[in-house]
Amino acid sequence: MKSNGFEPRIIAFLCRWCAYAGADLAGVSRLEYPPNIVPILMPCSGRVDAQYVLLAFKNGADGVLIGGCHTPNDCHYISGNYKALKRYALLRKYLKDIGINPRRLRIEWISATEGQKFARVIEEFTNELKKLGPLKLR
Amino acid sequence: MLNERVGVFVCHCGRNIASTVDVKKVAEEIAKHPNVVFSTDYKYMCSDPGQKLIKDAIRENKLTAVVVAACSPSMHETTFRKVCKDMGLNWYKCEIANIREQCSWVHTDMKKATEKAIKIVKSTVEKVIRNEPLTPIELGIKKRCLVIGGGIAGMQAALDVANAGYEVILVEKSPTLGGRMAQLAETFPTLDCAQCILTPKMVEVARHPKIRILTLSEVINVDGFVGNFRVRIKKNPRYIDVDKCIMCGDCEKVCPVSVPNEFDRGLTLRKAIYIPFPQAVPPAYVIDPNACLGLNPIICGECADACEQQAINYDDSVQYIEEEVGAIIVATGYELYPKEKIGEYGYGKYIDVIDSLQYERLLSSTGPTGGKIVRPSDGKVPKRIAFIQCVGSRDVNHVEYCSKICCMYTAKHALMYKHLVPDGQAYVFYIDIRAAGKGYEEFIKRVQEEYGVIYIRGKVSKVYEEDGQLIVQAVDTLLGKELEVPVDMVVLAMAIIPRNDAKHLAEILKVPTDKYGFFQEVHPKLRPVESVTNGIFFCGAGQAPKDISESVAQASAAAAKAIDLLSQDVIYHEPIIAHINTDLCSGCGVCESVCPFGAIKIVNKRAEINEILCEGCGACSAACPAGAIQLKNFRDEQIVSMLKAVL
Amino acid sequence: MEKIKVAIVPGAACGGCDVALANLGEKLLEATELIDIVFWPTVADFKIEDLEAVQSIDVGIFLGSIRLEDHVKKAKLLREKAKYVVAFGTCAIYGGLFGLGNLATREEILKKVYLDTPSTDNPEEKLPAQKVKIDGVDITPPALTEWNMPLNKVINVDLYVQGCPPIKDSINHFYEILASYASERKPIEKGLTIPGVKTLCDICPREKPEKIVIKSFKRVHEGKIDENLCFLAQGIICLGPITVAGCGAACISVNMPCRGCFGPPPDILDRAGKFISTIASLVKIDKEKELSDEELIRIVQEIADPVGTFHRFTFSSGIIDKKQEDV
Repeated sequence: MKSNGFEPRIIAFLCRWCAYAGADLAGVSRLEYPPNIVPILMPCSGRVDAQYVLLAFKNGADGVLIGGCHTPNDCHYISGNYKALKRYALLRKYLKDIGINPRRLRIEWISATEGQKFARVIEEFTNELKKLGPLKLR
Repeated sequence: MLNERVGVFVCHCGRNIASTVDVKKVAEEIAKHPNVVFSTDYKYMCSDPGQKLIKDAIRENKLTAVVVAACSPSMHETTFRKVCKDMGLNWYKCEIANIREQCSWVHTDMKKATEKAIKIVKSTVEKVIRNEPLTPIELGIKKRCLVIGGGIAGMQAALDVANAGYEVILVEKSPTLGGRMAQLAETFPTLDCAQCILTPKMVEVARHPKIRILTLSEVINVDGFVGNFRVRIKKNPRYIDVDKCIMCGDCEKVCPVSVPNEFDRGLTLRKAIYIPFPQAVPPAYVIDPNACLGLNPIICGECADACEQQAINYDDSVQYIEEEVGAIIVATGYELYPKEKIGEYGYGKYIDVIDSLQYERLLSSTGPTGGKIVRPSDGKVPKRIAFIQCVGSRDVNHVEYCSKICCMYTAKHALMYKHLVPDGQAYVFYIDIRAAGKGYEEFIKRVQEEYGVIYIRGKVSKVYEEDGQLIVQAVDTLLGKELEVPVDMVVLAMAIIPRNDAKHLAEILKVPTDKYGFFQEVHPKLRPVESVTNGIFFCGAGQAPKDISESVAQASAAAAKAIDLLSQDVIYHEPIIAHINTDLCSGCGVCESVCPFGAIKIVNKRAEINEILCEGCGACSAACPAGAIQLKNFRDEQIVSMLKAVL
Repeated sequence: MEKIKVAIVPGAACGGCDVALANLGEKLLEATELIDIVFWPTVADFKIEDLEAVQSIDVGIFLGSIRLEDHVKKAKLLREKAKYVVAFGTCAIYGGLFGLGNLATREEILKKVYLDTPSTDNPEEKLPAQKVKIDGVDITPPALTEWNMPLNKVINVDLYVQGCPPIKDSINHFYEILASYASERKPIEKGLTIPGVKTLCDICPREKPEKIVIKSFKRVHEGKIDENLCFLAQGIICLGPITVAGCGAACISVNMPCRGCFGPPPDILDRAGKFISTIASLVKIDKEKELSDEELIRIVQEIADPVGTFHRFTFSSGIIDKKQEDV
């Protein structure tokens, strides 16, 4: 693997109500996960604009995680998670077309009770990005 | 922004943060960040000396914004914002950098954790210097409450709110109050007669000067927002003048049309002009327009001719009523799972296989048999009877959840059977017995031990008929034995599901439902009766399956929440809402389309925000193709600068 | 009063912007009183030496994108000489259509064009930018830059005139600015963008439903287009909401959706990123909860060619402005 000592940089846009609270629970439960992720608190995953994801990649992120509430009905704002999901879907296609591995972008539904899932997702994503290697832009 | 003076306060949280994050280094590094004019660390920032430290620093350094690097904002955001507010800073000029739950507690490598903590703090500084000072939005309240559903939950909620002195509009779709409870015979575990405890409640509601009852009515539209809902109600015609009807019944006698009586779940017939049950509220007859020959005296005018009171009016028509209310309580109740979907137990095929509500009607002294248990097929007393639990419930093919009340009412059913047919034999087929509740377990034990009802643990695979004899085929999972039990009658404890129009109502109210269609509360533990839409509350079995006592308790809880709201003169709305830059807006309408709260309207080619309806999700900001809508304190430039700070 | 010196320098351009400037019409006559055009190779035989020879220029107008090393050289020269540099037209501002060339490397493009196309007859496999001798003279044709670029990736730009090409109103506005600079030496506001900020929706006469729902994506050749209804509400991608209204609604008034040639409004960081957020939000917005996540993803991904659709004219000014090799 080309992961020799490579530590991916991950930006995580976390919705305040679910994924962020899930991350807090991971903390309260002292579940260790890799420190590669830096969280950015969002009011809702529906606030996440695809522009931010591109900007994150441009500025050196190797991966971007969008964490929201479970579909269909967990979203505190009724359907923000669906907005996030659909943007994610289209953005993945766009990333592929411009030659960025779409696996660098991930969306996960993590409820406030899923501290374990949060830790697992970060672990998995970090490992996957290690395998993919750094995002080198031209 | 450029002249913002930020103070950063890094908390050790004892050793909770300091053992993994080099707090001194964080404070040193952040001191180099633009706009940061002061930074320090301290053992417990949330302690009194910690708070004093922040206050002193704000004063001495003329700070305009504060970042506290500590635990999650869910812990002490309010604490620290109060400290800043005391020093004259705006509530939103203080932000928390979460370096405990999302850093020190989940990492062990001190170097990496410290680096990450610095990034988190930097991004928080970038955010706070761009935060606008905001003040909560004030709004007035219509001190009235709408209650949807006139069952036991709705009535209880209406009474509680009305007794607190607020006007209540109680909307019920059927011709009478009472709901499901009116159909029941006795209630577990005390065996009180349901009608006997319900009727006084119904009368109390009917007589309450603060409660206006609208039967045969449905809510068809809701506009507005917390404290200020505008409700449109469709009131269907009764064709009977409630004030004139004296319930003599002369009309019913002459009506030539008979149809199945839904109150008795089809076990009896009723006329096209009928009264659902003798204690109905309002106490008046009603014409079923679908059954009546045409609401036209030329075709049939028998009832009108018979009515000495001249209470019948075939020309009665739909009315639309507009009301303004401050709070809405939703208590729409439940239905039983449709029998068509349960083929294997022969319901609908064998006449002596009935559902639990039909059985309640048989038990009821006002029911089709006057309280005798007899088989629908031949009127004979069943000597052997099977009760099957979890019909449709806890079943991946039907509904996955537990319907919660079936264990208890089935025990009651079996007990009542033994009361009425002491020499008969009752079998209860169950998966598990769930008897959590005051006096519930004791009740089950009594039924099993004192009354000798045979409980068989095992799922019934099939009910079939052989030579006119019903046979229940099951496996006794405790004995590991296959059973075929011949019985005279079978009672199915059907799963409980939401009312079929609950989903439509949810759309009107703009509140979510769960995957089964039950109303979704904000938080199952901490906010169990509130909806995500402020000012709308849930109670009763429309929110989740529950028994009468729980429904009543939840109704009082919902009422308390409504009263809490209505008792205020003004309410405050979170000011983190969307803002439109009309210079940039060209009125494309994308924001209006994506807003889940109907808070945005395009007026004269420009978007306008209803500040009260806006909940601050930011879906519009992300979607706006011109960058014209920005969610306050989550603006594009803030998020971009946060991103750049951490990368 | 001294005339101001203006140079008009084309980069990778179709010539439309030159024509648009010439479209000043009778103002051109007036212009000659105020403006001394020191360089405009499209209308007269100027060589780069002519530009080099000018001491200083007041306003340099650059048309077209940067795609040749020669364009870089000219742009830098212009910046050196000119008090104000104007990026004129979509290609100069955003890189224009040529930007889509950034979906391939320079080498891939050359190989495709000069070697791989079926109609090519090039047995010696000659590529441009190699030294050739013609009539005994060594000639080195200008080499392609590695990537296509908008002007402001090479030099600082002071003023932007949007359009493909800019239309008369914008050019008149621009001319007024030049004229007042020429007659009164009124400084030109740096960073100004003409025509400005409002998008096509501002002047779009089509009806817009209260909720715009994209049920499925439809391309213009697929079925009838209602000429009175918002394109997006018909599932047809129209870049109107993310395109400045400088065109007078030329396409939409003949029932063709906007392809975005005038470029995005000012606060957009990346047009594709932004419009992904817009368009995806509208897909099946009325039925989201009835569909599984997978179905919804599938429906959204039915959109054809998101780069070419959203970044047709702006890819080389995007946040990620060229094809990467990360897959």
